[in-house]
Amino acid sequence: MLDVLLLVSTAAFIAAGALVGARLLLLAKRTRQVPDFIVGFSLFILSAVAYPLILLSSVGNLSLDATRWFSIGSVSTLATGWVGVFVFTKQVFRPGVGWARALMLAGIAATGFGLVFGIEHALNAPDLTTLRTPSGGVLVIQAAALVLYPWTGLEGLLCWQQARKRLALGLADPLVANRFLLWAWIGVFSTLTVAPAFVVTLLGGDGTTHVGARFCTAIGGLACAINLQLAFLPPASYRRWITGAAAA
Amino acid sequence: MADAEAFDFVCSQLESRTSLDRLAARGTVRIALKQAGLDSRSVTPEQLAVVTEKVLPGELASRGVQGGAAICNEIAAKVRRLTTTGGADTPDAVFRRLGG
Repeated sequence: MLDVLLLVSTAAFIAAGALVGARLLLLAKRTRQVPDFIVGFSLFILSAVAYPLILLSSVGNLSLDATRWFSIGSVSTLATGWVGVFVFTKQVFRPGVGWARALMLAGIAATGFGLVFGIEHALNAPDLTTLRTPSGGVLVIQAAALVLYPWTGLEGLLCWQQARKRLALGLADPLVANRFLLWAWIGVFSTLTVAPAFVVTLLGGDGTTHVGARFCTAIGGLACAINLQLAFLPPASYRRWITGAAAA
Repeated sequence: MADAEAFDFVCSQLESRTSLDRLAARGTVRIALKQAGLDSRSVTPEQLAVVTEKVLPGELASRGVQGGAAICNEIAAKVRRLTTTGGADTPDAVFRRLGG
């Protein structure tokens, strides 16, 4: 049952993220705006490339070499996507703010450091069991993500609170205000996909097989997919509901 | 006119038309903007005009300024005539674009 839920969740995240990422990349081509490109690229590479590679690297009957290259691909694309979200968060929510720049640079440095050691682990693992054991490098990358997701989620929440005040004066678009809230939820649920497995691994367990961690990952991934869709490709009925609720 | 200059314009108008000194005028406008979920660095003239009409009179009244509503309406009308330069790429502008 949990396997099915995880499969559905991963498929939903890949589909929603790839669709939204591709749409935002097309938008960036039109607008020529850096934030549009960064968020589109990050979403696309995380969902359409990194997650399928993670799935492929966990397929049981693959050779050691194939698994090795899928692992390197997945950790590299995950790191690239997360670096993009770091840059987007700083650029959009805290441009010109010193502590945000420092946090972004620290996050990028930690991710880069983790990537180097993650690749080194994958290249030198003598067997599949060792290869599939999360390395210290991967844990460092995940730790950076556990700073990134709450940060970007909190920024979304703060912007939503400000937008609600503007809404009362007719100075904000209800759909934009709602998009901030959905971005905050994306931060929360993305944290949920990473945190439990990370903690289990830190405590000496196996985060990839732990039932509770897998359940959280599945729920988080599914919720992320729904929030991504509603934020950046909402159906007409959802748009009507949000604008109608604001007008009431 | 740069958007931050629109903020300066409202503050100087308030200072010349009321008993508030420069510091008090700027503080009052900043508080009004904060209540409206806006920032003095990125507020547009149109947004500032709405805040001046709808929020600022209450702030002036709480500071004992008489006839605040009339003063604010006059300032708002002048602010509306200012032109925006487009300003910074605010989170609001980015998230509006990302919606398509």
